[in-house]
Amino acid sequence: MKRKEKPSRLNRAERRAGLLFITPIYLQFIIFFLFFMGYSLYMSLTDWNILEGTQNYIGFANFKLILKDPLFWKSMGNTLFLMLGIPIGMVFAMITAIALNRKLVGKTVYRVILYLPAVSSVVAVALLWRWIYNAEYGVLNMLLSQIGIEPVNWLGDPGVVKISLIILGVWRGMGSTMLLFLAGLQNIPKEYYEVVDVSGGNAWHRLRYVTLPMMTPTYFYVIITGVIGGLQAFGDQFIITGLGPEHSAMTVVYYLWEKGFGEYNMGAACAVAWVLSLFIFVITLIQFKSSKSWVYDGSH
Amino acid sequence: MKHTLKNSTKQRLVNGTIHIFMILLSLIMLFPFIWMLSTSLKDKMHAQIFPPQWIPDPLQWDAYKEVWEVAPLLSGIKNSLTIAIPVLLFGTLSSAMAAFAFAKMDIPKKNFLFMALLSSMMIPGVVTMIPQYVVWGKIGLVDTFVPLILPGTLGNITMMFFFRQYLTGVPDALIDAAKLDGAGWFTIFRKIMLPAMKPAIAAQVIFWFMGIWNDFMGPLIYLDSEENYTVQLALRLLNSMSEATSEYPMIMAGAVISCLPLLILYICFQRYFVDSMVVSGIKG
Repeated sequence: MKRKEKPSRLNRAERRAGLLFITPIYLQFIIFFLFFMGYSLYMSLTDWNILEGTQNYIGFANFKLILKDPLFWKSMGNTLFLMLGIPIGMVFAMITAIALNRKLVGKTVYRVILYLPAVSSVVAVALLWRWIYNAEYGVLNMLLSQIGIEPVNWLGDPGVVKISLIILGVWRGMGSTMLLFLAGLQNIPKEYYEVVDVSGGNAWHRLRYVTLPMMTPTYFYVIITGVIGGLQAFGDQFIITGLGPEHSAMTVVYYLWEKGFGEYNMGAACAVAWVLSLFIFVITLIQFKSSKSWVYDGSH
Repeated sequence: MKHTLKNSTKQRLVNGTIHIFMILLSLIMLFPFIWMLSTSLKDKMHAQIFPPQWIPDPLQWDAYKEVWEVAPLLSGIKNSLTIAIPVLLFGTLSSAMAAFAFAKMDIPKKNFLFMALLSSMMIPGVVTMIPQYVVWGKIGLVDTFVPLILPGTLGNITMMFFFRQYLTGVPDALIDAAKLDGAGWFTIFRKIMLPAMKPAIAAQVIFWFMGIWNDFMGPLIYLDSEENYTVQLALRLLNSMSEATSEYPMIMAGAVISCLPLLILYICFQRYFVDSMVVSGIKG
């Protein structure tokens, strides 16, 4: 039965029911997204301060202030530096995914263990690493001193603190990336490997000419979501290091937080949020554009 | 014969190497957890001795008994559940209804409406965070659960997207048959669609629960008084009260307790975790 032949009364009932079904989620979209987005844009153009009670229109002054603030650029630099964890995590995840993509006793156990950090409570994990990294009594420095390495000031040395955060990030995120890679590996058609075998290729050729290129869509997804998430990093820094020595652990969202809930300068905080969104948008766009040259899209 | 023998020896060698690699890696990955558990079962002094003690001697449960008194951990768990339950209940229903409408029903401007919703996923949450805080403050609802519950009860766009993907795999014939029987759309949704979506719902509810349990920034912004703290805020409070006095066993006991519900969910519903990760990953 085609839709057009149906009596219009039924059709109207379907449309009415359908619109009713999407009403709650649309209420959320309109109120908590559209409305507040407009509100945020407006606030970013004001000197809205809930401590001083001001809310005057000041044009783009907030944006100028932020873009001239060395601390903003420092936090942007820190955020980008911390994202080095993305490629590092991907390499480890890829190696383990390839290792586990076969018949292997205990495969599930390995998978569960590697994914465990990703399903742990975030503050618990942050506090745990804060304890491990403790300069005086932390187990990491104790272990290092047992093999004769001088203690490292993991969280107190501005040059080291970002490395410490990257290690934590890789540890936490590797399992999820590995699961995505495993799923990607299982989607590679067997025939492709057979072609390599028939033409006398070895394991290296299988990896180089089939596995790695066929996985590019998965890399792409992991990079896109990793970058979007990484640019919004906040919780670990806030809990483990605070701002860090010399603001060495301050991320962009942390900077925003300081503006909003430290100085109560809500206008400036909204402006930071918009700068960040624009940045995320541009970076994502560049990645999508450049993906055409390296992501496998099903054609040969 | 000889050929297969050689092959299987080689195979065994490869598997052996992989096992050694994976066991080493697993140990490295597990080491922080082992240390967390080990610290939580020590007394204050043994937690800091050199060389580090892996198996607590003497084994102490005191931290687990006392931690409840030091920080509002129990009320934290209760508050987290108070937020999670209504959000999951209504939010899932709302997301499922919308997904059903977008996947199977004829509504005007459907594609536009759907894409508009999806576009909101591109904007980071911090954009609307500040004005939301200001408005909730004006209404006088800061330091209540309302700002943390209400938006979620109206649905979750990621979840809706996932459900819609899932429903495209459910045959239309099911719906047509029900329509011929004279069933209304609500009946079709309740009697046919919801049961058909069960696995997808389970996977997404678990994932979302994890998100709410782990939410840190939301509660940090909205909840001021300690009796309203969620589990993550209670944990952070526990740390700020115990760290200065080096009560590390206490902090780690709190950490273990806050991880347990998630770990239990994960061990029991492992398959769902993998499914929802992979589906939202590959098709997203």
